[in-house]
Amino acid sequence: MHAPEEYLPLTPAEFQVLLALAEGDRHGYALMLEVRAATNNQVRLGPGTLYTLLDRLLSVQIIEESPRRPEQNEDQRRRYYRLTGLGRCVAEAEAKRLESLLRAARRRLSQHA
Amino acid sequence: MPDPLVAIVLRLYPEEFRDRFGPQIEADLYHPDTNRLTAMLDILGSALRLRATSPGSYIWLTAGLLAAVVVTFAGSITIGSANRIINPRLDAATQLYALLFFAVLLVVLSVLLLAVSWLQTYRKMAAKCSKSKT
Repeated sequence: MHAPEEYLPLTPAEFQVLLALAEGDRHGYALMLEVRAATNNQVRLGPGTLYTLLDRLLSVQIIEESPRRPEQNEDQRRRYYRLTGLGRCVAEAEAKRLESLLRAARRRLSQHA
Repeated sequence: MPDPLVAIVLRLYPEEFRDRFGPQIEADLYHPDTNRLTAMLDILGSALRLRATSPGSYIWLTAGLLAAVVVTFAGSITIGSANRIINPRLDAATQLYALLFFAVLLVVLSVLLLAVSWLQTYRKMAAKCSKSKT
């Protein structure tokens, strides 16, 4: 198994998908809505972009398909996804990376203010 | 069952990807809150990107199609600029010929795409048959 840092940096869309999945199992459409809401419409994923992204994350085992199935009132074609242990570590590593970048940026800006 | 346009667009995806995610993409596409046009353009773009980065003969076809798009785009800008500078008088027949040329080009490229798709399917079927015989 690779170290989480080897998967960094993530794209903003990948990071947002991982954050949404960190809160629980989601299907594709719910992920699209959640990413859009969490980023104030700054990251908008269409179905094509989302599923190619999910395919990539599935192939490196950062996420996996959840055994959960759609409710009676939901479209039965939907599939749920969830974070793997590696996926959670990758998301945490990305958050740390962004945090250190932000800290360095603030420090440099305050030095030249 | 997807409408014919959606079925054609989904066929642009590699078979494995289509089998896995096709039904989910359809479910999202037919959701009442989905902007169908934006979603279709997104699917088209991602399918071309996926084809261009996946192994197989589609790489060349996609590269050819993208090159054709770039050449058409650059060509139309060049022709537009030349038209403004030289300001030639084009009669209706010349304009019609130009339109016909582009229409034929598009049809030829589409037929080529379908032919490669059918050939790939045929080859896979043939491979499966020969495996089952042995």
